[in-house]
Amino acid sequence: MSPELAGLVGILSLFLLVTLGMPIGFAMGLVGFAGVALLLSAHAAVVKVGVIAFDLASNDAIGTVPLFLFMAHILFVTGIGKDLFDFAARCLGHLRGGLAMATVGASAGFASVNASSLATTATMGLVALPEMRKYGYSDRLATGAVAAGGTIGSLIPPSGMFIIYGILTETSIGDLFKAGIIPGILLAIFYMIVIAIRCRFDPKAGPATPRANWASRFEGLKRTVDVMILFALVMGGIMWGWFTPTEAGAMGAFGAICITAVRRKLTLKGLTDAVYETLQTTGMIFGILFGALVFNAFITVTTIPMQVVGWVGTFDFPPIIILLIVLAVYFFLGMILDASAMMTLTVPLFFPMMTELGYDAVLFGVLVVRMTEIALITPPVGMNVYVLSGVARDIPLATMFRGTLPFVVADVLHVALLIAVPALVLWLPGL
Amino acid sequence: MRLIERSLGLAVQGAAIIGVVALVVLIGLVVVTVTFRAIDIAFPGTYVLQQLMIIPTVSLSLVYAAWKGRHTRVEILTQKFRPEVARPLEALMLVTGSIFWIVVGYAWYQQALIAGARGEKTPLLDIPVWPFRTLMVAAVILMVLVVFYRALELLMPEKPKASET
Repeated sequence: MSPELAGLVGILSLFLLVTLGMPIGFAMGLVGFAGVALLLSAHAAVVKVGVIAFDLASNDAIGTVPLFLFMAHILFVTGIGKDLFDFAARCLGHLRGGLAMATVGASAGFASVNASSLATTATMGLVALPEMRKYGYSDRLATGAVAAGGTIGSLIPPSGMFIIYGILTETSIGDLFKAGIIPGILLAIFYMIVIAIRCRFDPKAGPATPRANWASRFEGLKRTVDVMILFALVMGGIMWGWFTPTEAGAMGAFGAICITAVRRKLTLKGLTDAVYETLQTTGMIFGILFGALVFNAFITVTTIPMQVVGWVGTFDFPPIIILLIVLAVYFFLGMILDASAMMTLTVPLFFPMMTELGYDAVLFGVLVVRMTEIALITPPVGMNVYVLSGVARDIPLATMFRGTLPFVVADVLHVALLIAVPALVLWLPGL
Repeated sequence: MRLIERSLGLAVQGAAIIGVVALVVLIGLVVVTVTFRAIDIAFPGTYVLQQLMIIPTVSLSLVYAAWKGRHTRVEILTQKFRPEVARPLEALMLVTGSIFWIVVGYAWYQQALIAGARGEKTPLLDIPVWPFRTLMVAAVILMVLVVFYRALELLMPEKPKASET
């Protein structure tokens, strides 16, 4: 069997196994191993699997995963999600749609200490949704803002998706973290504009709440300032070269323990829960990564990425068209696959092609993460919406998905802006 | 079945505790290193220790995630199947997928043998690497056992939910 045909059969088998419910990491690893065994030899495949897996398990960069996860899980105990929302609501609540804007702002803030979009959505669903419903916000706007706000989590560091992309493509995780900041803030602004426009045309969808005085706002700020300082230290440390991303994760985790203790929320149960939750999520991520790297090796052996680059070159399309096609593939795949699955399945195929076409690895990483995040709010597999439906069981899923639609439009415009002005992504890593 | 579950549960709990300790040690090591580095005091070898601590954290987290059923699956199709089809299919997928982990375990076992025979040690601190490699092998074996157990559970008649009993 030719390497190209073996590669195609491998890709199809992988999709079949994943669709039949095999854990994604297991399926990628199995197909990758079988493929390398077929194309090289069983012995070579065993050696390859062993080396890849050991290199991953002892790689210093992967320490970022459990460390940042631990930081997030510890801070979760402090109730920082509620504090951030309270502060944002006091600043923006008096505007039409202000509570929804506050939800987006608080989601961005929460994302700065949390590596997961789903956790951001779940937290804001519990904190912000009841408040918006209390003030008569439409279910569509309220759930749309919470679900879409959650997607900011993957852009603002620390981001689990950036870590996975960085490990898969050997791109600097520190650079990816830096690159996500401006797009993340921009996305929050885009979402707020969507809310403002929506409430301009339908004021009943997001009525204004009583204006909070400055003393109350200052009080809200005081309750969040410690976590803001922690984020500034962690990210500042990476940006100014004080420490590596892994060290930043450890310092962040230590800082999170200190903050929790100062807030008198540090209990043995809270600590134990955070540690075990960290272990579970770490295992989940590495279950996928081990398989993905083996599959990556198989795809490299098949030479398919290079063949695709050559084939695409024969069409004489400008690179931007190829990029748009790839992003469209992500958009549609996102309707059926979850974010981590989509990234690990496609990056081994698309990354060599896009870098060969001259796209920066960091820019492509940000765009891929963006597309995987849009997938979190598009039907039928919009995980953020499903998480939210677990919090607000009385709101139909269809209402929630309709609520996310205007935000998806903002997402598309946001991606277009990042493509048109790559400096928005590449400026901070280049400093 | 209960005896297997109890034994596996205890083993996983033990593995998780080692993973947790490794994580806490990792945080402590980094904090001390970074803090002292800020005042120009370096501890040679802490980087090596950090790398070693990552090994148990990662390999044992795989076991814990398997025990908690947290390995990511796509369920868009299988959730539409009737339980009498979905459960055996899931069991089959778990057992088939575990072949990959058996390969990983075997490859790591071979590496551990070679490393042990060579007396492989870390740079700077000269810590023998074989215990960590052995731990990785043990973690994968335990994970495969957990996956097999979960598959076996799926082949058993479904337990009635607490509310139904």
